[in-house]
Amino acid sequence: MEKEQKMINLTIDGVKVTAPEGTTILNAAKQIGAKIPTLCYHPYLSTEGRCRICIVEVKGARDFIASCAYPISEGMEVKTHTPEIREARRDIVELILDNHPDECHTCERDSNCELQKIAYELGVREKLFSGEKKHYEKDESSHAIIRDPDKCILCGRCTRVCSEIQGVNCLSIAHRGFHSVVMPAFDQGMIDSVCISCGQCLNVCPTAAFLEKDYTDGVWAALNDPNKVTVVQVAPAIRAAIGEGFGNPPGTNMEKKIVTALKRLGFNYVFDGQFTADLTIIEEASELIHRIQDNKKLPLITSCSPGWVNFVEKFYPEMVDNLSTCMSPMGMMGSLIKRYFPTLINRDPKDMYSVGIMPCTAKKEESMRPQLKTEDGLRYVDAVLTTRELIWMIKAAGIDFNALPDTEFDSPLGTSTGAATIFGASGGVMEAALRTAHFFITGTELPGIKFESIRGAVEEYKKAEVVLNGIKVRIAVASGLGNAQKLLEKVRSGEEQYEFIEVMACPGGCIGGGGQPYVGTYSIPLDREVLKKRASALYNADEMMTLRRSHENLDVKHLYDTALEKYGSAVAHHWLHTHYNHDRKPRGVCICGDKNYRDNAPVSNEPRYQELDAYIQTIKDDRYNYSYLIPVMQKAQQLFGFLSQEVMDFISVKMQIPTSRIYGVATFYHLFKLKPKGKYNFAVCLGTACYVKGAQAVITELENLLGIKVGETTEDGLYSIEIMRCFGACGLAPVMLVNDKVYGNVTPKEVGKIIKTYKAS
Amino acid sequence: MTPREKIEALQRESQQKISNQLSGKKAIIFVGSATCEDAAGATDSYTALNTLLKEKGLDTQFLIKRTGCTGRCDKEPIFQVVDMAGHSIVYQNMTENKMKEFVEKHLEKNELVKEWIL
Amino acid sequence: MTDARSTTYLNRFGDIDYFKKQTRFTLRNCGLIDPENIDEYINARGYLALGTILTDYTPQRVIDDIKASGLRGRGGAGFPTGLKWQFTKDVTSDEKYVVCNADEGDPGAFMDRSAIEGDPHTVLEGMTICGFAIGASKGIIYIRAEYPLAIKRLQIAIEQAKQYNLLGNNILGSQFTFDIELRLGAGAFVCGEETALINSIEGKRGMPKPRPPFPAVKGVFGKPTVINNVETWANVPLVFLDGPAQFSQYGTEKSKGTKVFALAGKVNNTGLVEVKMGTTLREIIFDIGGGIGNGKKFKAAQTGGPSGGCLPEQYLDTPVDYESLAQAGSIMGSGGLIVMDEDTCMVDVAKFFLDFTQSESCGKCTPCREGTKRMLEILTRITEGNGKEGDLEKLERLGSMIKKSSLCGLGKSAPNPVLSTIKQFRAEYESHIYQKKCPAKVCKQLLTYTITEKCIGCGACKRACPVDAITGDPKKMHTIDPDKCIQCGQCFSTCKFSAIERS
Repeated sequence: MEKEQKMINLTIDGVKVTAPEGTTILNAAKQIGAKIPTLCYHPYLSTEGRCRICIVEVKGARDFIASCAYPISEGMEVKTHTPEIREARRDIVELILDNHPDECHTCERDSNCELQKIAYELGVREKLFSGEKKHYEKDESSHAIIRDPDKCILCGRCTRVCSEIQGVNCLSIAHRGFHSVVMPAFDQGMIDSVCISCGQCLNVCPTAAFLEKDYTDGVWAALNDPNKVTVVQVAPAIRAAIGEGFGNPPGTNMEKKIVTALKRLGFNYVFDGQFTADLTIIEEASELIHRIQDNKKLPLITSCSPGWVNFVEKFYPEMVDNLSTCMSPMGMMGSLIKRYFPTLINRDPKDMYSVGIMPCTAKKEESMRPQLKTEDGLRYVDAVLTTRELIWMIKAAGIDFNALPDTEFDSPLGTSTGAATIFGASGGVMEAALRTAHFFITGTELPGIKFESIRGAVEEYKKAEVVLNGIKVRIAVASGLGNAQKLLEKVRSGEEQYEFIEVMACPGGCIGGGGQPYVGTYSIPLDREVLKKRASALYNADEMMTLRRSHENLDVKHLYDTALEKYGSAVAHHWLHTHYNHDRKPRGVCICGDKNYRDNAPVSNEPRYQELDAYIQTIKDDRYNYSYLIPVMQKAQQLFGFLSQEVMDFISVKMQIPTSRIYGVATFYHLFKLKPKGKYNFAVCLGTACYVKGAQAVITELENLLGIKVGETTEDGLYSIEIMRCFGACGLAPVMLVNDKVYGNVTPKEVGKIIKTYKAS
Repeated sequence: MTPREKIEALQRESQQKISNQLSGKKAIIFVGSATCEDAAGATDSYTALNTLLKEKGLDTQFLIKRTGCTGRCDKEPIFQVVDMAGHSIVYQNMTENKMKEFVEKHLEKNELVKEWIL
Repeated sequence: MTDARSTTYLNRFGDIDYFKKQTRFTLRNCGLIDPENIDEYINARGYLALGTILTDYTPQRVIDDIKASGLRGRGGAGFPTGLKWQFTKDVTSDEKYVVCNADEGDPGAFMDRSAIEGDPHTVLEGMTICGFAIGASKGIIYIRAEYPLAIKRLQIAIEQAKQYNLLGNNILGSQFTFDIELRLGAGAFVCGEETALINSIEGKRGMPKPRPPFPAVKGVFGKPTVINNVETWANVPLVFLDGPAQFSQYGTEKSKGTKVFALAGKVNNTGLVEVKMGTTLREIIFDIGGGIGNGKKFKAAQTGGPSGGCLPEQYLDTPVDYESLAQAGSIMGSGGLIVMDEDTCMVDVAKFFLDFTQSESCGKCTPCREGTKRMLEILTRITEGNGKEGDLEKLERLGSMIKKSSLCGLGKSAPNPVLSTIKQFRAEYESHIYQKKCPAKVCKQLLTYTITEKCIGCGACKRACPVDAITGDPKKMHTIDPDKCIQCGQCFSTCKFSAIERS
């Protein structure tokens, strides 16, 4: 029996509140309608208490309390909006704005930005404290995601979603203080990083520090190019969410208005991604049956989610061959648009301009894969737009979306079954595949068509077993890569065995994709209720349909009859199947727990690596192994003089710690150097005693004479200057160290003489 | 034995060890040794003093001990000479270049070097 | 008032003024014993407290004695040590930790380094006693990597203690097992904050976490943890050597025992001093420190480092204890005591400390990360002659917001040096802002240089001037073009004839 929860009584703004023990002040306040503003807080992520906007006054406490992180206690008296609190909150928000570009009116998140909204609500109408702003280069290297650190307010939600929900650990906060910045390890461009392009970072970002790469320009151009045949496909999850961009409640199915809008935008043909979802199911169910019957590699794992495919390629290369060779529905549709459809309309494939409307940022990257090209080098999908980008296009074209009449998808690639519709939600691909596999194996239809036990695997992965004509098929479904990782570890260790696994990279599946409309203005990203409503739009549509099994799709049948011959034929393989990359594993690791990989990772013959490896081996503490990171980095720096990416990658593999975390640590502490120091390192103590006695003048003189600034090294690699924290020899102030030699009572005049004693030799 | 008895036994042993060290010695020279002392040159002084004592065969008469710092930062390196009667003298700024004079005057001739006294 | 511990010191150093007024308790062995030889510590009654406790005491009695002694944490805030241990003891857990915070980061404070280098065993003994009291078997000393000698001596001490069975399994034949390991800090002032320190021990960025949960409940590796600083640990054996009653005889009503200060700045005798709680600042600075040098006038004493405040002359008779210093507008802190004379500009000092905390801010919470930056900008413009009306009010407004809203102790105390100097030396700030003058003649941009008739035309200043602002024929009086002058002061320090005036 569950232990009864202890109830706590307190007052908030003079109103009595009773809430279970452990509730935070923030959540208890919601009960009485006290909405405390928040920025860094997110209910599905760990609580960090960073932004301090949710401060409240608690009687008896000397300082303000961050209500998101503070549990209620018996008799507590809380005030959520005293004049002092209001002013402090206002000032904190202003401080964030002071370090944020003043470009709201040209920003993609204008009027859809949590910071802007809070600043408005808290009455920041003038700037009292503005000064220097941080500036970092915008990272536009990725095909999918733009990182704009200038707009980052360091709430850390992206880093938390990246590690806690997705388990990718690409992003972490590097450097510190005013220079803190969210970036991948080693300040790599997103394209070189371990990023798998899922886009959850931009989903949770309260501002525009992460955005999708905008491909609308190319699409506009194609739409206005009389020589192009513009063909667009719409993924299942779009219809469940696009309405939110036009003020409709989540879960409003907008399928037929989307078709009209796309026609009005000028697309020549509007096809349904669900058509190829049916096609995928047929191919994938056949693949499953073959793999089981021919004792081929199992479990078969779905491959429709490109973030997921990236994840496997980067972190589980040994499981790449478990991925279904079926292209994603987008890939299949693109292939048909370039290979099949031109023959129907007598056009040259080169004239076709193929666009995918996807709920997903990773699809942008997927569309660039060399595997998704014709022999002539024509990309199957020329541009991928997110739901958001389509919303902008519709608005830019002045189309009153809600007032549009309904239109059906174009034929012949526009029909679909209910099975294809549910592709957009976690568990949907599996359910659709089972409906068809059952028919293929038994020749009869699955009784009780629904498979509700595997729907909505958001919090954890779900598993089930079905018996198809005596063949036991063990299945599992996961959404969110953190869950997928847990599942895969069980599979890898042999603890759990499956024949078929469905994984979608985003929590809740495509409906919660990184390209879906921002929910920030009325709800929170990842909100389970929103996900449920979007999913129900798809499941309801399934219920309404007569044809609910992919193999019942008559146009798909026709396609096989006229072009593909039969299920899994050579043509089908050529057109609809793909292969994956085995060489994308990063040098460092991001996923911990792969002890095999750690133990088998080669160690260079270089004696310093040998020594570092031996040092790491001395750590016997299996439970708290990770806690030795700093000593290991210190050892590495001793050996190598500084921490190169190669060294940090090595540590990452050997200690099973994500590189982003190592980089975050390396850039946090003064001790660690990412660049080699000079042969002679001049370290000047800047403790109080040294400062008061003129250490700053010594530094200035050093800078003048050596022509470098603090933290830099001369080009010849001879000299470097650094500031040392208190050396603890205050009686000798100012103190300077050259390597290990101590100089006391240093005056600027002596600096030149000292430098002369350290000449190149 | 209880833990207390054990530590008391250890105490007796250590007392014995220390008095063994002192037997036959005229005085102990305490040489400050800490980051600050060393920065001021205490290690160099210590090494020089050791060499000098050995050269002169005085190492049997004087015991050199390195201690932590006494907290008198700007006067370091600090030497303290304590004779067997318990008389103590503290010298300041005992840099390496003073060692010869220190040995000759204070240790050999038993003369105080007044200007060095703290 | 004689005490065995202090008399040893007096016997050897007693006739020196600097030591006479001190009461050497925690530093009782520093400078007297060889820190690399455990026998010398044992000979000085070392580990006797531990032996006695393991023989006669229950864990609760140990804590009761610590409570009775009135010992409070020496790291800054002065939290009662016994209470901290009690909280940790009262939590049930399979594992607990005892941590020594030796990440001494205050610029200008080196008490911990000196204490460890001079007498490492007393820290080990103190931690071991705590381990017994709270039921922990693991101790961790988190020490700055910048202190190689202290680290080496601790390593030697731990090794020797293990050989003597004063650490390890069944210490001195008892049922109690305790081990201590070293973890090196990698240079981050914020790691002095206990939750940041825990993160750092766990191999993470040293960023503080919201409390609760407190370390007593969830500390290192999520286990109940006691964290005290070096000086506190060095006090622990003392409580038991002569009993808590003897310990609490020293000090004031609420602050018992002694406190070590690192005395530095414009004072004749710089160094480490240990005095009874309640000793006045005047006694420390003038009797022990020998007063201000060069015939200059005392201006202020800064206690508590970057978290503390500046106390002007009228506070010289403030007794040094937690409450009195707080009342006067500063804090005890970990023991930095910087003396400032009339040549010290208080705006510049405030700027120095803020610059320090600003660059040491971990960047986690907004008020500290962004707010200290803006305060520093305002201070900088004031020292550069660009101060504006309203700047002081902005500093005060930001300062009090940062104090009340920041996540951790670093942020909460970062504005202190600024707020306390504004309070005590407002006129000095105003003269920077309105008259564009720095009364202490420190702020370069507010100075003007003129050549007086003493000039013999040697041309040294002309050669020294980096911007060719000085003209004049040889052997004739030179002049400075104020429009070109960048107030670098090179001419002033070059002139051998005191012919250049600074105002």
